[in-house]
Amino acid sequence: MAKVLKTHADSFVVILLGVCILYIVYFQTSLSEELKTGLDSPVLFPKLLAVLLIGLGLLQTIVRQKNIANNDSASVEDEEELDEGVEPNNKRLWIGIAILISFVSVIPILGFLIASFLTMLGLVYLFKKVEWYKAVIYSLTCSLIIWFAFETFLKISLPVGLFGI
Amino acid sequence: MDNYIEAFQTLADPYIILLMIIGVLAGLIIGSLPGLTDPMALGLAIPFTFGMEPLAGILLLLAIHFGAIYGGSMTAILINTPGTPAGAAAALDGFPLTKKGHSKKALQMSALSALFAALVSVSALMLISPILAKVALKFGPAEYFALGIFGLSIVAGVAGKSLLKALIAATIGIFVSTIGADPLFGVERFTFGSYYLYEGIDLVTALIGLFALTEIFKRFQYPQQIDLNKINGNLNNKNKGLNRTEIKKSLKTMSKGSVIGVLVGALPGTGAVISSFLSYGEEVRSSEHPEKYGKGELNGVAAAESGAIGTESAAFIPLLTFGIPGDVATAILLGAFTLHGIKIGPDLFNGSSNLLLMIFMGILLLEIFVFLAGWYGSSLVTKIVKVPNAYLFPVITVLVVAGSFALMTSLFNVWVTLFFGFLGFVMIKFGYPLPPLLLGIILGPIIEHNYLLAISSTGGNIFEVISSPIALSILILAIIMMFLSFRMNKNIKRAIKK
Repeated sequence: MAKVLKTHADSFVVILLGVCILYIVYFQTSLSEELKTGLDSPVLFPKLLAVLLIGLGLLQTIVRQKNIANNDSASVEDEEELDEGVEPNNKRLWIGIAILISFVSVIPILGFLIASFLTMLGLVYLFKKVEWYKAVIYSLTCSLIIWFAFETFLKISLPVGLFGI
Repeated sequence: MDNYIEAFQTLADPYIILLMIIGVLAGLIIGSLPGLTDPMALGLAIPFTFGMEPLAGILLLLAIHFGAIYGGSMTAILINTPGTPAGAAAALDGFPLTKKGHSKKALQMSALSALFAALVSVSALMLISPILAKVALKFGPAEYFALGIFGLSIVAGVAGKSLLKALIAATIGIFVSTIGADPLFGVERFTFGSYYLYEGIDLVTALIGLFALTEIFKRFQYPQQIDLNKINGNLNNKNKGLNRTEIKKSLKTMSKGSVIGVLVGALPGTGAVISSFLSYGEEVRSSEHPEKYGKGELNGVAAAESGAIGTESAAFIPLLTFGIPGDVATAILLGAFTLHGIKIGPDLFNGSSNLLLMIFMGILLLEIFVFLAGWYGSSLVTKIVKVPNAYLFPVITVLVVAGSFALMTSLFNVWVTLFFGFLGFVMIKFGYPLPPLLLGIILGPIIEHNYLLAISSTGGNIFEVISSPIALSILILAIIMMFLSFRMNKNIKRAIKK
């Protein structure tokens, strides 16, 4: 069972997405009379797309299962498209994502300038161990240049934090 | 004639010239760096064009686009690492030439073929687009609905390994486009009461997430850096350049490649990769000495490069006349046009024909800048590719966040970008191609809006909508195109593998 779930995980997610869309559409239509029927209904397209997603998801499951049953390794699609002959570094991926989410989360508190400096510092270290002063100088310079470019050149005010910058 | 003089005067403005040069150089650098793609560069650059006049903004983006495509070929020739997929064919003979010590010849041939093909392609764009635009003016909602479906046939061309996965991605894309108020009645759909979602998902926000952020996540997981040992001593450009005989010998190849490029580029869903390999294949097939190819034949570089670059301007034919993007880059540029208040479609040829003329002439000028950068800029590219990821990607990450914030001056938009970044990354992980998703987001509103208009005007008769002769022809053409481009794509991939 676990193997089947793993093999078809993406197809099941697609089917589930279709079902969720259908559920939301029916929930919405139950609240509003004007949405219910007709070929010019605003929910016609979402409904069609939901059905299409369910259909395509099912079709993918069947095709893949058939390929597995036929032991047709050539036609069973590779799941990982990212393998570029290099070992994947999942730990670094998760740390990178965490840094990015933290960056966006702390912008309202620290402001864009400080948050971007800290993020860049973290990411420079994540990619390569460099001397601390080089990382600091690089991150600070780049943050200031980006800040300056947006504020002065593009006339777009980037978020300011509790420290007023 | 007055229009041409006015367009020339506008383009001769030092500010515009400077922007184009900056754009070409930026594109060249980005295109030459493996991991940094043309769509990513365009997505990142769009927020920078906000404060600019529409012409300046569009020309900057076009400069980046053209520069990036050419940059991909430069690294393919120099270090056998194509910066963009379209550059792969140029590496077949370009890199063996570099190994033989003829990198300068290869680069100059590549620059010359690119210029030749670009001139042919721009001429085709200038000649064909106005004619097609006149035809498009006769189109009603039913025909535009059919055209939207035709645009979806691109999906087959950018499907990757599985057409089924591409179709799923496109369906998700169309679904994303339905978020927000519906196009006719303004009824809220999937907004969950959020004020931010009422206007729908912003196209540029989605594409920054899909193409820029996804690439960053990929680099987090798969560190990739150019092997500096690959950059050998032949790159100092002290070796001999092209001579007249070599240029003369390659003229026929360039002409053939350019025509192939234009024909392929004008078809939605094809693009530079297919065209460069088709052109290269045709050159090998028609040569008296096919055995020389792949071992350092100058005509091989000419064929690949003219085939790839010939598609560039031709891809604008369906975009400018019908508002249907021919590939991912033109899809992104469509978003940029909209952002600058330029309504793409046949009306563009009536209302703002001067702007269009300036864009056409600007493209010509850009191609000359690309040629000059290619002829003289190889040493710059070899230096740039040595920049470590550790310095490059942190800056890009911050730029992504700043850029997506700038689009709506809202942090909500940044979260939407992050969402699309994750979505794109997960989709790639499971082998789902991203271009169909983007095409779905772009074409969804065109299809839905025109369908609703058409169905309202026919009193709800769906058969009347699809049985108009033009609409029906377009729909049949869409099915044929879908099969054709899927098969062509598969054949090319097989050829690349070989």
